[in-house]
Amino acid sequence: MNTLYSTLLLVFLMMTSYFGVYCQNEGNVAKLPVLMSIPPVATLSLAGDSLNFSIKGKGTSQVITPNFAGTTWLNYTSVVEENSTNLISANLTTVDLPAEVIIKLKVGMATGAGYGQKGVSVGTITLSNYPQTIITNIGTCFTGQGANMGHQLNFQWVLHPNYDEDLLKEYNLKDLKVGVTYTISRND
Amino acid sequence: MNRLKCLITFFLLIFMHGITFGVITRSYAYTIRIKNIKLIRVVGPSTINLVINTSIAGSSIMSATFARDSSSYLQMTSIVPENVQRRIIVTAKDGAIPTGMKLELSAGECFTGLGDLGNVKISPVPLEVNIGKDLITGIGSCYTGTSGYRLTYSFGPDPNYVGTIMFNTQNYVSIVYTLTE
Repeated sequence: MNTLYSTLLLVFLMMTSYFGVYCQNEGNVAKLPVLMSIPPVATLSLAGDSLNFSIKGKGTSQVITPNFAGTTWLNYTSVVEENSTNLISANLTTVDLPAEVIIKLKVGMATGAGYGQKGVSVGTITLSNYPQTIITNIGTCFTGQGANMGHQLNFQWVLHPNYDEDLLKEYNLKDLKVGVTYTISRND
Repeated sequence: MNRLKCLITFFLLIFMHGITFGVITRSYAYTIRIKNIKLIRVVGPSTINLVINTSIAGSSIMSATFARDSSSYLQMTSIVPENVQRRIIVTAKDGAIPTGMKLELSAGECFTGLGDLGNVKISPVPLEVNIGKDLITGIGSCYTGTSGYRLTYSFGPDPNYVGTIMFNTQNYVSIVYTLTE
C-alpha cells in the first residue's frame, strides 16, 4: 500500500512539475515569462564549379592547383555581438610550396542575394602559411548559398621576381597541390 | 350519550372541513444571482525558452532559425452579463524584444469545454512591449475545460531588420493575458 501511495505521489509530482500552473494567475489576468536567446553564429562554406575539397564549418578548406581555372565563392552567415564584427582569414596549409612560387588571392566584393552587414574585401593578398584577413567588418548577415553568392575568389600563380630557374626545375609544377584554409572568427 | 355522539360528529365535521377546504397558500420570493465570472490561467512550463539557431553557411537567418514553443495552454471560465462579449488581450511587459527580432503568438482552437468560446485570431499576433493586442474575441459565457487554447510562441528575425540582430544570450519579457470586456 505504501508503494502505491509513493507511486501516486511521484506521478502527481511529475505531472505538476511539468504541467502544473506555474504562471502568475490573478483572476482575469495571467502572466508567463518568455526567455529569448540569440546565439552567436559564424559559419562559412565554399561554392563553385571545381572544388577539390570543402568542409563546412568555421574553418573551410580547398585544394587548388596551378591549372585551377574555376571560380570559388565564399558563402557565410554571421550573427555578432553588439559593437563587434567577424572577419575571414585565409592561409596555406601546404608547407612544401616552392619559394619561387607565389599564389595571389583576389577577393571580390559581396554580391548576389543575402542581407545585412556583409563584409568588405581587402582586395588581393599573397597567400602564406600564416592566416591573413581577406574579409573584414562582417556584421549580422547572410550571403546566400551557392555560386554567384557572397565573395568571389580568384587565384593567380606567379613566379617570384628573382626566382632561381634551376631550383624551380626540381619541382613538377603541374603536380603541385596546395591547400587553402578559410576561417571565420570574431574580430577582437 | 347521544349528546356526546353529536359533539364528536360536530368536531369531526369541522376537522374534515378544515382538511378538505382549508388550503393555505404561501408565496416565497427567491432571488437567484449568477456572479459575473472572468477567470483565466496559463498552464505549462514555468518559462518559455526560445532559442534561434542556424548552422548552414550562407543560409538566410530568416527562414531557418525561427524558434517555436507550443507547450502551454490558456484556460478560462467566463459568465457574461446579457449582450456583453469579452476578449483576451495579450501584452508583452517587463522587458524587451531583441532588436531585429519578432515575437509572435497564436492560439489554436479550443476543442474542450462548452459555451461561447469566441474566435481566435487566424494570423499570429506580433507582440509589442506595452501594447495590448486582441488574441481571442467574441467570448461569451463558457468554460474551456482542462485543455483550452493551445498557445504557440514564435521567435525569429524580422525580415526588415535582419542586419540589426545582435548576439544576445538572455532577454526576458513577460506575456500578460487579460480577459476583459
